[in-house]
Amino acid sequence: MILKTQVLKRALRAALDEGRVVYIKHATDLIKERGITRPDVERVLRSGTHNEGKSGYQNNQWRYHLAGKTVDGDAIEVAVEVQDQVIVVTVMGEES
Amino acid sequence: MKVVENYMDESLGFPVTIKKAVFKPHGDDWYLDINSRHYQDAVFDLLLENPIQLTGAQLVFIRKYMELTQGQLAGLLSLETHGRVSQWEKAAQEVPDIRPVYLQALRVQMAKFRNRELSIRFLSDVLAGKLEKMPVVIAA
Repeated sequence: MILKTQVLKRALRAALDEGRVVYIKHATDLIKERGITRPDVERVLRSGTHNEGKSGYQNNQWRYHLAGKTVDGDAIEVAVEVQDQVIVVTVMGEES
Repeated sequence: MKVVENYMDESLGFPVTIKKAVFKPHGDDWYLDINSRHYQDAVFDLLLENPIQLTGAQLVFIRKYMELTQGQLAGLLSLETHGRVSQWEKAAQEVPDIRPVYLQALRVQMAKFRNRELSIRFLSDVLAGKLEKMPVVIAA
């Protein structure tokens, strides 16, 4: 069952506060390639907007897309799965 | 699960060696199983409390960890504009030429952010430029 935006945001905030955010290797490769950092990604998870249109069921998991800006104003989009941990599966920069 | 004795992570924007890094599977991929908050706190504190010559990329991490724009950091360091912060950050993995008085002010602001106290001796050493280029290494 897909999480409603309010529930998703609450789950993300709790995971961020407790440090339960992990990044698959593919996401860390993209982060490096695009000059993005963990603080950038986690800022979007905390304060970004849930893109419900892009979120959906994929590889037996609900995948949620969030869009937001870094502290420098650069737009990024992050896709996550919410399990015991929040798993960052992909990160897209403005140019993507 | 697999354990990597010395894993080099670059998700903070610069190389950090994590000792005994634990990886867990996720589909065909893997993820580094580390508490993201503790990890960033530990690296920030290491950069704060050790006589490390900061690189441009480490400055970017410090600023973003503190959720500051370049202009806000410039203000905290009593710089007139963000231009100098931008110039330092452009050094990326190199050590930019920063006057020790600004490095000392930066350490003071970092300590304030983390509610830490730095010794007068350490701050004097920073002001005297007694800093070294050293790798960032933490335990998982």
